[in-house]
Amino acid sequence: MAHAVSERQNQAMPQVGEHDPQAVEIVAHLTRGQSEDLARKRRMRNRALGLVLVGLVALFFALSVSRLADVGDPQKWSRPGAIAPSR
Amino acid sequence: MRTETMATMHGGAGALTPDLAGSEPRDWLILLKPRVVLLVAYTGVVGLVIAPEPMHPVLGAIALLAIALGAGASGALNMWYDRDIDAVMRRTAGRPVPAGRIAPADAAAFGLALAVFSVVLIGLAANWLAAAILAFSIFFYVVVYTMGLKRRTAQNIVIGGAAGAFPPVIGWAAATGSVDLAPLVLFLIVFLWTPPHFWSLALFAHADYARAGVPMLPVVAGARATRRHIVLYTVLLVLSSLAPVGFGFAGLLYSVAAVVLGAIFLRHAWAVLHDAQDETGRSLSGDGPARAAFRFSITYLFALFGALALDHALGGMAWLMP
Repeated sequence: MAHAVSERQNQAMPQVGEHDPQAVEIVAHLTRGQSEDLARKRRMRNRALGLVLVGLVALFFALSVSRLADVGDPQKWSRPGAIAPSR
Repeated sequence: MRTETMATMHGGAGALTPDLAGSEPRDWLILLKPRVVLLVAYTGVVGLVIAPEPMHPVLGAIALLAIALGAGASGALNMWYDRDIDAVMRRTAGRPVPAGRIAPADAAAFGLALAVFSVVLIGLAANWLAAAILAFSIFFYVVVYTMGLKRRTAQNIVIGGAAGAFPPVIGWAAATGSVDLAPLVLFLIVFLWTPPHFWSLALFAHADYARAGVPMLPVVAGARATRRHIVLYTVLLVLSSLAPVGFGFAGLLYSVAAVVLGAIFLRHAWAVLHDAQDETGRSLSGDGPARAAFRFSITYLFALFGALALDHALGGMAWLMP
């Protein structure tokens, strides 16, 4: 009997430990202003992250091209056919 | 952040404070201590510019970016570890971690990821010696200074100052693949510049440090002893700033700049020593001289290193010599 009551209580209680995105009730607890502020900040973070990703692509492209330009004439390397000599 | 935010949100409507509503990109930028990063990158540029071997400009720029990111990573890890004392200090309570806008775990992960990225980046763009020095400087700042010295000894910023002195060495190593006497002299200058810079700050912010339990020199030894130490280290700094001339890698322009800037810095230090004070050394003038010395110390480093770079670019102004 006590076990059945405990089970019913468990069903009624939210399971804090398990994270189910579909069950998150954040918006219901926020005021309209707070919700809009949260959405605005999330948009800003997403845009910043997008810029960082584009920057990383540009950075590694520039790094690769410059590295290739910086190794000089392969004919003059001490061991032709080897990788570019490091400084 | 997620845990705290959720916990607050479960409190019902209105329980979500604005600070816990999430971070903005600006908060992540603040986490990097941008003003410190600027100074670090600047001294790194000078190390790179005065190196005898030219570097591919794009690779040089990427190496500088890596130095700046490494400094930023150190700042983020410092803010993560020091969040408890930052929260009780008026000067730092508004930082993103103590203010609750960024979760401590997120700040730590961000700092660690950025540290690894910066080291790999400079290794790929320049060489692995520069990468090793950058990695050591991050380790020194975070583990030796922040975790080890800062809360234990009044000499925290004397020894910890070495972490901020590495960038010119890294810049030089990035360009040449080696470490020479010149970058070590620049290391010494920044190393000796750090104590008068931070002790000037500590003089007018000693109440903050005392509240947080950080054993800065004014808190442990008193204001009077700190004033004497500021003068002593400023004298050592000015003497060390003449070393580039003695070792022959700086010319007339730098010599004039070092003497003039050194004289002004000494005047500021003298004013700090003779500030109107009570019997314990506490200022009766609102620490005006200490504030002025702190501000000038930043100008001093920018101008001194700028003069060295300019001197190098103009060939030491040998054409002006008789």
